[in-house]
Amino acid sequence: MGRKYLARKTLHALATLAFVLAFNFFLFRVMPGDPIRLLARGAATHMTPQRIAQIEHEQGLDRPLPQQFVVYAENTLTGRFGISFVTNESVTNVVARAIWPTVLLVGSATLIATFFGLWAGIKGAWGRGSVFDTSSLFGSLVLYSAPEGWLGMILLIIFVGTLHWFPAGQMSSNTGQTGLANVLDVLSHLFLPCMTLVLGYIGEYTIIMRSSLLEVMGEDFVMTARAKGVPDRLVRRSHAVPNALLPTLTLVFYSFGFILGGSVIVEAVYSWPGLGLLTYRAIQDLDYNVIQAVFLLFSLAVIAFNLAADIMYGYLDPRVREA
Amino acid sequence: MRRRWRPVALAVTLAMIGGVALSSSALAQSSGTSSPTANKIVLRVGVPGDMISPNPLLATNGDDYETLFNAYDLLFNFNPDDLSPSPGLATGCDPSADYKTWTCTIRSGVTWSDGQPLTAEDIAFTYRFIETTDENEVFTSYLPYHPTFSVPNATTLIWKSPKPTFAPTIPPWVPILPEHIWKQYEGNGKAARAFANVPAVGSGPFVLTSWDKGQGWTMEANKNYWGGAPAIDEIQYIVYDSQEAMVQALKSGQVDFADNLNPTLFNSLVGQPNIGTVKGTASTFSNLAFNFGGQGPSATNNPVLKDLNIRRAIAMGIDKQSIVDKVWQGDAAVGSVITLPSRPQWFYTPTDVQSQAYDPAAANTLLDQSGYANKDASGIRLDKNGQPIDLHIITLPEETGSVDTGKLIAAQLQQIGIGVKLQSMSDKQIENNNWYTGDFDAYVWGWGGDPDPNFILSIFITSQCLGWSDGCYSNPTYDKMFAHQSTLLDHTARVAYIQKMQQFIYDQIPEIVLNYPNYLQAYRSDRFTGWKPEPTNGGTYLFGWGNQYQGLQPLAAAESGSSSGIPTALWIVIGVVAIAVIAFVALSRRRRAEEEA
Repeated sequence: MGRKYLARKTLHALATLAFVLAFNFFLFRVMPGDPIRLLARGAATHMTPQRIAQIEHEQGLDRPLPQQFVVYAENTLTGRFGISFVTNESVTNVVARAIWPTVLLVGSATLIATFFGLWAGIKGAWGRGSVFDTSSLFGSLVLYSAPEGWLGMILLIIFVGTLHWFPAGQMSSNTGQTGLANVLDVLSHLFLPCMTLVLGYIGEYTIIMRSSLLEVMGEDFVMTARAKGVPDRLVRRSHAVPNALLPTLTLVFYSFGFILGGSVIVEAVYSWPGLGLLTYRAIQDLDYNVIQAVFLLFSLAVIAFNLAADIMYGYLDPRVREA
Repeated sequence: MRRRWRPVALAVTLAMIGGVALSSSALAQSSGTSSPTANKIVLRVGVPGDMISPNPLLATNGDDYETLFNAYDLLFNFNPDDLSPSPGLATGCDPSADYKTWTCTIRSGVTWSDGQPLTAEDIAFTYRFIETTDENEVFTSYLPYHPTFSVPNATTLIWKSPKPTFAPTIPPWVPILPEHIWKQYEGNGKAARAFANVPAVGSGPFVLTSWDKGQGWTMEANKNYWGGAPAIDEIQYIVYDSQEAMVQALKSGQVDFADNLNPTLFNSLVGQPNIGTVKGTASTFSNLAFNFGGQGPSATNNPVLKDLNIRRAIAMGIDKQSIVDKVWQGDAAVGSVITLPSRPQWFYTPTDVQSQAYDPAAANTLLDQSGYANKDASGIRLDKNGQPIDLHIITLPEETGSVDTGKLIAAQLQQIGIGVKLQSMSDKQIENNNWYTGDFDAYVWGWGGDPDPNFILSIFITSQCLGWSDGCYSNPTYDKMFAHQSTLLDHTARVAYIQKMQQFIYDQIPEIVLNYPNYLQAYRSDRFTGWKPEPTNGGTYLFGWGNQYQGLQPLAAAESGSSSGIPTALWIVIGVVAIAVIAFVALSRRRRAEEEA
């Protein structure tokens, strides 16, 4: 692959990152809410103006904005994100604790949705107009347009409130079990949020895979392959699908970039202790330091996976390298 | 070729189905017996938010306070009937004749959860610690005039105040901390606030043993508690960010109690099998607070609001019951005075409620007679300078009910010829743009507060303008009354006088107390009995004023543990389906390989 192509893409990524850094800072400074009042909460009823000024000073909130920005950039680049306004804990710890649950939840959901989505898309396109195709297309459109929060509520009402099969939230039962019992416990907690996400994602993959394959099916090389007597199954597997996978692959890569972002809504519905829930709570509490850190992390992940997709794409499709 | 595989695949499939069915039932059994909570009596409480911190110096929300109430003792407990002080660590405190020296008798034989003895020294230490280390001033107001403390012996605490005080009997809402744990942080607020305090050494009926941040926390019974061992072994607090999930968890028996529900979900639980509902009396009130100006030259308050007749007409023009019905769906009480129904010791019914009862006709008559009879083309009354009376009222989307209440009020005031311009904004925006500058006529907000009314009474004095005052209300008579109540050391005299002050505020209407929203909870009625509402008459079952868990007795269901989960039959079906899928994939791969060959 051309060195130039690689350099250009990396430069783009870095420029985006720099923009995100600056944007991140100013975005949270214009949000409503007074962090001191939030920091003090109920205690503010007894707080003297001197103490409030002292906290403002400790947090650097009494300095002019440009100066706050310099401090922010310096700290961010050296990996110091400060402490959470709400829990007084180091933001790095708070964020680190939330990464694994999100990777588990959104990672497994993305894998499952990708697998079944691609399968349904391929099967639907190949048998275009069949009962399977029309019903999977209909289902995909419905699921694609259904809000995740609503899907989550529906699953809660069915599987928790009525059938009593699964836990309503959290990641484990807090009963101190270990080993296999613990794995099963986490799996039973994982089921509903994961299912919600799978249902939310699967439609998109199905639709894109289907339309991409339909496009390829009309190409000359597919007709050629058929004409020379290649079995239908082989035409699909060796000629049509690999070419149709390109746009879908990009989508999959992009969605891996969003894995860390998780699903704020689904994690909030199921109190799943990941980055999405952390973001939801931090925004509610106006916990600036935490919000800044998670937004930066999300941006980083998206930028990194976009870069990876670009490189990968250039590798898979020679035409892109030259462009 | 193809046919040969079928019997083999079938045999493999059947064998695997059998294996999965066997192993899943084995797992179900093993997970049932290996659970350490199986023979413990556990109360599981669903809460809509996590603790902020179990460190008393950071205590802020209701969950923090509930945990502190369980983990620590106060000098006095609260009497559940009227929230007056009742014997706690101190069995009694007696004042000197000048009310400057209080001598408290401290219970003997009390131990901390780590086995160390708790003495009067610990109490004196805690109060000094608050004085030197509580920089956020969470507790300092309970120890007014910088008192000194001495301990002549292990069961006597002497509280010396430079001025006469009744502070020991408020009583001070300060958790008593073990000196041997906290001494190292004395005077170092930053280090003290950084102390995690999990597990926490305390003297209360339960011990905080673990906190899984964002998910919940666990308290174990302190079987050596001086007030008697609790019947339950453990409390698990489980955090649900979505109230819908918490309600479904309650329905399926995953939690035994659900705290702080919104009216819609609460009403969906009423009448459900095995579920009891609790409408706790209010611990907050919502208000329409008027601006009287005085913030500075930028104040834009409408001077017409200084006319008591206008304020009285507005009070008569607002249908508080309709706000209860429409905004709170019935789960609130009509408001009157600035104390709360959940503080029966102080709550007061004004003598002339009828004078402000909803009556638009009477309000119109009052306005006509007070010189506001002229109206503009759109029916809005004109003030004495001929300007239409258009009030700029702010509502807060973050405050439950505020925006909807504002809309109702605007429509109702239209009926008495008073125009309303509503503006909705966050508390930060109000503070920066309106509250400091006085750029508003009224807002729809609310107050909570301590059991003692000292604080809520203080917000109406002149010196609180730009302090805690809503709209710089100022009345020299009231200022004198407030100063006088602080000197009343006899409790009965103070109660009577504070009733007079509440009546004064009610009559002068610096703000209209609109509603007392109920505190809504629900519980499984098939798992525990012995709930203790606080206050006794109409209070909440938990999250009240302490000591609510000790009386809980498990019913049969609580002893046998939770029954929710996937039935074994379903596991078998899932197993069969999974195997069928695997077999199908394996078969089609095989077929494909054959085709390619």
